[in-house]
Amino acid sequence: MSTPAPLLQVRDLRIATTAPDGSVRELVHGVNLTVNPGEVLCLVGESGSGKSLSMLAVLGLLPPGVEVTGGQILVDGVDVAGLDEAELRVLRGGRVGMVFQDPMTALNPVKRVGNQVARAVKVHQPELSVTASRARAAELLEQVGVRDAAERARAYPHQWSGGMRQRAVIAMAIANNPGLLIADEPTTALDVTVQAQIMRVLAEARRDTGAALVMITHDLGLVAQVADRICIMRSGEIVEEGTVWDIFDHPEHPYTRMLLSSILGVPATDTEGVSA
Amino acid sequence: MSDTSTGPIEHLTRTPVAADAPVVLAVDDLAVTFRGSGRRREPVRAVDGVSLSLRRGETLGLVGESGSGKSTLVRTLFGLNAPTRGSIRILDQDPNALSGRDLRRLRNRMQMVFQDPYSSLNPRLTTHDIVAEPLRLMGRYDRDRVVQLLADVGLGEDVLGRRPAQFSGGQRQRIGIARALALNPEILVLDEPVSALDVSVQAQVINLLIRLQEQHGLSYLFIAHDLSVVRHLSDRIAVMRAGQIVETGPAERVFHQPEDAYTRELLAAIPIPDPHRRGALTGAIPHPLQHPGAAAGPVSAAA
Repeated sequence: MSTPAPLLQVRDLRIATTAPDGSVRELVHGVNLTVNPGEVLCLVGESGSGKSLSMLAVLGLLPPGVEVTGGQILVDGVDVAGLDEAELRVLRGGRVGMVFQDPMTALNPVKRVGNQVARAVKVHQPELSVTASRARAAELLEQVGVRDAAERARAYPHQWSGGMRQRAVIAMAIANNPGLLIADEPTTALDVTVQAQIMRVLAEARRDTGAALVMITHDLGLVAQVADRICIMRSGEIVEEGTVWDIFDHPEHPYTRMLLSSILGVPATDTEGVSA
Repeated sequence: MSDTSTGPIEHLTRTPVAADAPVVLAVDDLAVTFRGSGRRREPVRAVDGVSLSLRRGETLGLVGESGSGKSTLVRTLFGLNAPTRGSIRILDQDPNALSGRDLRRLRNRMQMVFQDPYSSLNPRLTTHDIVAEPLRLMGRYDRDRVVQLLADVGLGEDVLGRRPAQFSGGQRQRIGIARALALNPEILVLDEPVSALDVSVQAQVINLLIRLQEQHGLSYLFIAHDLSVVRHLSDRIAVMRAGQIVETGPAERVFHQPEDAYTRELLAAIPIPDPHRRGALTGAIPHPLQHPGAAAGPVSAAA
């Protein structure tokens, strides 16, 4: 069995924050994970478990006062720590696309949606003309299911619904054929029917680009539906890792078992009555 | 009390409500119309002819997506919007016919638990003061009662002097529930009470709500967009869309034999937490890892 070279390798990642009084608190304690081309890895854990921080570190986007204090992050075998800000900008939105939880804050409220998507294209392909980058933006928006994209791209983010905005963010994320998409709770802010649409858009985008996906979520339903592999995080550590089958059928860590036991009744085909 | 346990979570089940229990909340043909904005000024029918009833000890799950009108409905129940048409009866009284002390007394009997435990508690007040506030307003303050209310939601006396920032989301929601119970209400309106919480904490708060309902004979109007939570807690479910109730019925019936197309769409959109039942909803990309236990093909998410 030949394994393709990993797209993302995180080795013994440590992240810490320094308080104003100089005391250091470690938030992520030695995380190891690997993402192979084309696969879906779900990072599952409750708030404060360090899942978002670990992925922000990959993008060099840790908030001020929070730093990587140990370990290595390799994207395509290149250590992210060695990149300067310009090289990081090439990585972000280029090789690695990002989709955040709240599309309203991911978009600039005072710029037309189409122009923002066009900008995401042009940053990585500066040789494109303005017209060409706009045409490409409309194409991308059509690709994520925005109809009459050329016309509607003239709108501002607040004129679009949450689901539409998230489509725009996904269009920006896939603008440069990324090898890896990082999605942090991409559907948490959305209604359940819109969530289903967005997950379909993400799946199609991945099919079109062949990108791998790291999805951060606490929704075990989504995890069961899309994950190839799962990392369960708790308090800054990965407590269990495995294929979706391992985790759902044979959870080993007590914390994983607790998470799975928190699942409430699911629709259709299960017949046990709640108030039997 | 700790928020995150490591043991498996037990899900309490409810005793179904008796069919002849008295109706505590009755809404009949309620409509709320807002004047439209913009050039056309078309009126917005936020609530458009809603009828529903809630019995003593019953939980009615009200499900709808954003913009369905469920929040406007709730605001109208609490007198924050004026109905354009229709009637509301709370414990056999018409709130719109009452005023002053009588209205306040009636309002005390129906209380609200909010979605976001981070913004619904005053950050400057101590837990004691938050829970004591409704008692003080009604001139019924009693420290022992505050302690008892907190004990009922699983919080000890040690929390009295602490402020909201020192608690986790689940603990805050417990404080919000204690405050809602302070005046011995008969009806609780729960607006997405667990959707801001982590899954394991959700289960604990839901268990708490089930226990409190049995202890105090409470009636719940439980508003949510998450159908699995609603099903677990509700005797009946009403599905709301575009200001109207499109389907209402016993929780299990709505779940297993939804009659309305929109209800079916909502059910089909729920991601099933079982990798052996992957559905069309998430794109149905062929799974790269073969698994002997996996079903041969993708199983449809809903019948």
